[in-house]
Amino acid sequence: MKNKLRDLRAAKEWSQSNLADKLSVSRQTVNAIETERYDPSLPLAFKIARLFKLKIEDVFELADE
Amino acid sequence: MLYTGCIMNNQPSLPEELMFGPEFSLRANLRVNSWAFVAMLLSLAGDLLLERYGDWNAIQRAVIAIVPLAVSLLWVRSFVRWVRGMDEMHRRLTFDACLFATVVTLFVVTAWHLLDQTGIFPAKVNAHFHTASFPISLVLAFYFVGYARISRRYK
Repeated sequence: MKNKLRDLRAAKEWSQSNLADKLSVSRQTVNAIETERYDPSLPLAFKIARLFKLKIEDVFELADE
Repeated sequence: MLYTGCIMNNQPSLPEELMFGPEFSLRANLRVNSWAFVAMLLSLAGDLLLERYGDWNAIQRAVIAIVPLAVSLLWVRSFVRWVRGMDEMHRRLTFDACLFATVVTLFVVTAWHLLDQTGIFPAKVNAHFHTASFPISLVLAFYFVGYARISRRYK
């Protein structure tokens, strides 16, 4: 799954640790999502989308779309 | 009881806290593994008691044998709480590593037992095989191997 998390985070000028704190996950997990090595669960994906005030499909998209 | 401090703070727990490396935390280790240490001490004390007073009745000997096992259930509870304190990625990594360790240990123990039956291993080599610490050591060793292998996918 592709995502725009790194760009969205950079636009807010947050570090990975800042974002991790806001999402109650570890910095490693934020890094794994940004590098597209880990696909978050649906609740975490919603949490990320809500944090940036976006729809889930504005942050994540399937790789073959 | 021993774990509550870590639940209180908002930071998710990390599997690396229990492994030697930059994330190692003695505090987390004490919280998670204290009961395992107590169980080990009780087991050693039980061995000494049985050695000295081997003529105790069956109930007394059963109590000595079972008490460390019962205490180790408290360690399981601490471990489960620690895993629940992880974020979803690390929880998944830990479950995958536990599954890897369990399956590989089962395979090794079964293979070893079959080879033992065929008389390939002399008694001196496989004496350790018949102790309870043997499968526990294997599970731990394979957990670390499995975790190192599986976590590479997400780095």
